[in-house]
Formats: sequence, structure tokens, C-alpha cells
Amino acid sequence: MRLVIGNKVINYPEEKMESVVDEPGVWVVLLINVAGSLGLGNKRLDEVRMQIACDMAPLVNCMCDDVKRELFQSKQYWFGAIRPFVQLVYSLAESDNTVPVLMGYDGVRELMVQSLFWGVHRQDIIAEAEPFKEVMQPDAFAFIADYAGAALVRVLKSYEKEGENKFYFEGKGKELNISIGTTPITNRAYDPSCGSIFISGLVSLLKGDNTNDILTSPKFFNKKDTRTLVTLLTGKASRSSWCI
Amino acid sequence: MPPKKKRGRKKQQKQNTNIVSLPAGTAGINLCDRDLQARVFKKNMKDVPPEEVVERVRKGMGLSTHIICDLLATSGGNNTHQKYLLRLIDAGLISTVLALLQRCESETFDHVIETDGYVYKYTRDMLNKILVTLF
Repeated sequence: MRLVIGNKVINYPEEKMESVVDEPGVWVVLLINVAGSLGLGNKRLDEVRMQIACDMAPLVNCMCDDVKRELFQSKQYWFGAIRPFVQLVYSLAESDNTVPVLMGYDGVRELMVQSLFWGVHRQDIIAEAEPFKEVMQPDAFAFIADYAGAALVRVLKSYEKEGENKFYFEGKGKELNISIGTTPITNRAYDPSCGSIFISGLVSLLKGDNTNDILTSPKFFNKKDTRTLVTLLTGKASRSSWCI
Repeated sequence: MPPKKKRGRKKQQKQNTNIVSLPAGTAGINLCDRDLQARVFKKNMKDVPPEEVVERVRKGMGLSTHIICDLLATSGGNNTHQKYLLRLIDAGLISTVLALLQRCESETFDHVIETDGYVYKYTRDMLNKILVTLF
């Protein structure tokens, strides 16, 4: 590349002007942008999402461990990547085909549920994030709750079947409905005594008991996703799942 | 002879695609300023073969990675961007990024970048030195 500065010309190799990637979170953001590129067309987009979902096992292992909290053996990178990671799961869940792959990973379902309750039950995470505010965007935890809740809605909806004037779950959808509803709201590796499950946590949130939970997210609470989640987990469609 | 002049101008424009003009008196400019670099690179990015861009991403080159991110985020309504995005995917962009992320459990980020990367830690000093010498 020739840089022309005033009337002087410098020949300078383009690549030498570049510095290194600052943090691995940018790679996750790149994947989000690919997974959301509607211009690819539905078929290609489904293929791309499936490719990402199938090959992200190590990333899932790191990001879903909310006790160790390390990515590339660094806590800073974990905090920098947690928000884009949840957003990536949400984007991938848009394709029905990728949902079983995502739910097949240990920890994805748990992370999506438990991150909604970090505000009250995981002050260790909130406190540890403090020095990493620069790498996390403002309101990162509220944002994570938005996307985690919305991802759960997408997951459940992908299994919801429509019959004559009614919605219902069957087979794997039934199992998943129950496993999401009964997921502990705190990681058992952190608090082995935690007895609260997602469905009861949601009820207490709706009663307004925990003002620091997903209630901190103005976008999430009282909006469509919360109601849809409650309906999906406790509504008519689920009754057949829960009354086995 | 208007036709001759037109051809000459076209030829000159073609030759100039790799020239980026910076305003005069920029001796003290910080060429590690991301905005400036982004403008410089975006001007030429689509002339770079997708394989080379993917290779830059694989090597952990920051600006190329950020520009591709921007390009992907804004590719929605732009046909040229979409076509380029498809070429990038065909060139292995996704598997390259996934391969980098797959090393997140066993290696440190610095190690990934140092072993495969293309780090010029002295770039800023070197380039600023050239600029300072010139003015």
C-alpha cells in the first residue's frame, strides 16, 4: 500500500499496519454476525448455524462453567465473551435443526436458566465482573438475561406442536420441557444445597420477590418473552408433560 | 481528444486503488487509531482475495477481523457485501474461527496468537518513526 501524506509517498506493507486481535470475544461476535446474516438465504443459513453448533464444544465447555469462569485460561476473556456467547446461542436457536445439538451440550440449558438469576444468587459473579467492566458492555447482565430468556423461548417453541386448536409437547419436547422447568436456578457445583428449580424461580420473579433478578432487565420483565416462557412451561401445552 | 483523456483518467484511477491519501501535516498521527486504520483498510478490503482475508483472521490480525465483523453486521441490505460474505464463507471463514476457538480449553490466548499469529509489536513505533522522519 502506498500512503500519500501531503506530497510524500510511503510504500508500506498493509499487513504491518495491523495489530493483533485484542480479545477472543471478537471471534464469537464474528460467529454471531455470520449466524444472523439473513442475506445468506434460509438453506445456507441453516447449514452455517449447524456447522457452528456442531463445532463449538470446547467453547461451550469453557463458557458454561460459571464456577471456574475461564476462557483461554483467563477470567477477563470469559467475562468479555459471556454476553456474545449467550447471544450466539440465541442466534443459533433460531434454526429448529440446531436446537437439539445445542441442548445436547452439557451446561447450555443450565447456563440459559441460571444466568437469569445471577443478580440474586451469584453475587460472586457480579463482584468478580467489577474489574472487567471495560471488556463487558454496560448492562451486560441485563442483556445476558434478555438473550438467555429469549433463547429458552426459542428452544421450547421449536418443540411445540400445534394440533386442533391447541398446542402441545410430545416425545423429546416433553422431556426437554420438564428438564428446563426443573433445572436448578443455581449451579449445583457452586451451591449443592440449592433446591429451587426454574419453574418456581419464575413464579417468585413474577411475584416480585427478587428485585435484582431478571427484573433488572427492563426489556425482559413484563414483556412478551417472560409471559411466553411462563405459558410454555406452565400453560395448557405443558400440562400433559407435567402430569405423567 | 476527449476519448484519449477518458482512457487516461480511467487508467489512472485503476492504478490509484491502492493509494490512500492522508491529510498533510499528519506527522504526529497515531496510526494505531482504529478508526483511521479501518478507513484505510476498508477502502481496499474488497480487492483482497477472500482466502487472504481468512488467512489474516487465522493469524489473529486485529483490524481485518474487526472489519470482517463490521462487514458481516452490515451485509443485510448490501448485495456486494453479501456476495463477498459468501466468498468468505466458501474460503473457510467459519471453520477458521471455530478452529481458533477450539483451542480455548487447553491454551492461552497469547499462545494461540503467538504460534499462529502475525504480530508486529513494533509496528506503531516503526511507522510513527517513518512519519516523524518525513516531517
